[in-house]
Amino acid sequence: MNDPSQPLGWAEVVVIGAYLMFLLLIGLAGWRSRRANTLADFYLGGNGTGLFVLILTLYATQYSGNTLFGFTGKTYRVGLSWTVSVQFMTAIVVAYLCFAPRLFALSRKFSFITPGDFLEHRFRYKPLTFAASGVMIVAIANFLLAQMMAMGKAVEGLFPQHAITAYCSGVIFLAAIMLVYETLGGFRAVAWTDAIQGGILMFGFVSVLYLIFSRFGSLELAMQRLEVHSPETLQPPTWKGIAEWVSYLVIVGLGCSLYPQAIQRIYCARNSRTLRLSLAVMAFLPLITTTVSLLAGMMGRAYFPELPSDQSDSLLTILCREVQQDSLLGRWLVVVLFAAILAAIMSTADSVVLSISSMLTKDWYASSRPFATEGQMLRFGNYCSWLCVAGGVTGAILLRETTLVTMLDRKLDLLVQLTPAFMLGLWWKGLDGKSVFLGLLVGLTVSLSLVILGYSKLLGIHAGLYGLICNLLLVWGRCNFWGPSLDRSASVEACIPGDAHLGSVNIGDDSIGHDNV
Amino acid sequence: MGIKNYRLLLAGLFFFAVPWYWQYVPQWSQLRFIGLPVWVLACLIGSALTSTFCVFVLRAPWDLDEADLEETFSRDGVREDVSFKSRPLDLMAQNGNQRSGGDPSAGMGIDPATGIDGIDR
Repeated sequence: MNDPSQPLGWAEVVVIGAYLMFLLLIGLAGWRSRRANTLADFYLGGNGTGLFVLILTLYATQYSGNTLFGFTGKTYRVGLSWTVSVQFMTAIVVAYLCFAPRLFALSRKFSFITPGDFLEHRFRYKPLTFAASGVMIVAIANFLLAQMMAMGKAVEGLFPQHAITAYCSGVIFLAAIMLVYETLGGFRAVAWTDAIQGGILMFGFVSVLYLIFSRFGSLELAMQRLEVHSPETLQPPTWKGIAEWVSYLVIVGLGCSLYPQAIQRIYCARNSRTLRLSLAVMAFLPLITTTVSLLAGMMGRAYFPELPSDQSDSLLTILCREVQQDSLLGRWLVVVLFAAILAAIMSTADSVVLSISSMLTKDWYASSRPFATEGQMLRFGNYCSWLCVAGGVTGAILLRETTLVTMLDRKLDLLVQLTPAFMLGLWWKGLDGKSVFLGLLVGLTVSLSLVILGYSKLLGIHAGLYGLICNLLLVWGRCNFWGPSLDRSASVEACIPGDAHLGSVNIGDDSIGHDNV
Repeated sequence: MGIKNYRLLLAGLFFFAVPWYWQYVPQWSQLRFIGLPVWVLACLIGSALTSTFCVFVLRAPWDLDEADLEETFSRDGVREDVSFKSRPLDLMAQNGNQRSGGDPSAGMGIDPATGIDGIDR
């Protein structure tokens, strides 16, 4: 018999434990499927990811625990204005259209492994490659820390009587599982577990919708209640709200499409058709996932209007508790939902760890040790993964009481500064590495200064976008007015793959060899 | 459809999907359909249309497509020559070109030497 004070009984915990053990088996399968001891095989699965796995790994990587908890809570706080979340997740796919086809083609030709490989190939400017990798690592390391903390919080919710022990054990146990399957199988294990996790996550979203409507009744009833006690949540945004809306579309669209783990998923597609179909499916996923978070948040606001603002991120848990008490089906669907939550967190965390490890190995270690063998680089990469996870676990345990890692919100402000390097770099031949590097520095300085001064949003616009405007202006000004005379006369042949090399078919291939191997 | 038309279509969708105009018609914005205010439905429809636009753009093969890559990859997506993968990256890139019988970026407007578009934009 289940203890009613426990969110889940032992039978349910055993099922979730079995699911976690299954992830280890997938890691083992990934290890057995490794075909060569190379970086391309370990970090990109030999560039052979098929349609089904690619769709689900993109989905599981792009939608984290934040989509389930954060978006539901945000809807609770701001109301239907958070419909922007459906649109900004679609904006990510629109952003992919701007650069994915060309980047995929180049990655195939020049065997890119990390985003830094493209930058090094395109600009031949080491400071830019190092800085861009550094920005990506810092941005997603915070993301990793947040996922680790979410792991602990999820387990803590299962054993509320032993909160601290459960939190610490949860972080360590789940991180260890993730690390084992990732070390064993590399990208294959991560992508395969992502596929399973993505499937569970999708089912979890559908379950949430079913559970909530079956417990609380129709959407119309909820809206009628909201009209009485929170009519402001139903209003369309004002001009300031519209500015924030557009700001979200731009910063999330550009920033999330430049997640290094997402760029590596462009590289790993089996062929362009697989990538096209995956992106086509991804374009519709916000409608069936983010919309669910939106509706769950509104239902919560209608039926639990007195929830304190700082507890709004726990809204989904509260809704689940309500549903759980109703029926056996509800209880088991909540188990599925809990597995989906773990899936969302772990699938994002494992992709981040693999991506950080690949960037540290390929962009930094390989540059400083040009004669290192692939075996040595892989060993270094594994050490990086272990250190990264150890750091994340330590940070998550030390920061247990912290509700929000401040830098977490800044990841998009940082990543969006890489837009000129990737999106303009693929199309604008006159763009040079030094301009992009200086633009990146200026963009980062402006956006972080605004944040430090307390203006994370100014007139509804994110600080990162002010930084991006300065970044773009500097890049444009330098390339069109005062930059070209300096750079092109001095180092165009060394830095810019431009006109000077048009006649030589093998230059690109040769230089990749010198710079990256 | 030309690239200018794509941009126009995307701009049109953006104008429709962002709910800037509803504050001027408050009496309409609060009309309901299946419980949701119509301005929210308009946003969701705008998002769905944008997704459809993406599929429309993605429907056409990119210039680098199966014909180029199927020669390098067998049906199960595994490179046919295992030893190929263990070579240094520069040899992989050169070999990739030789094995596929040409330049995979051909037809994309990509300069084969630099990998960058030959047209200033």
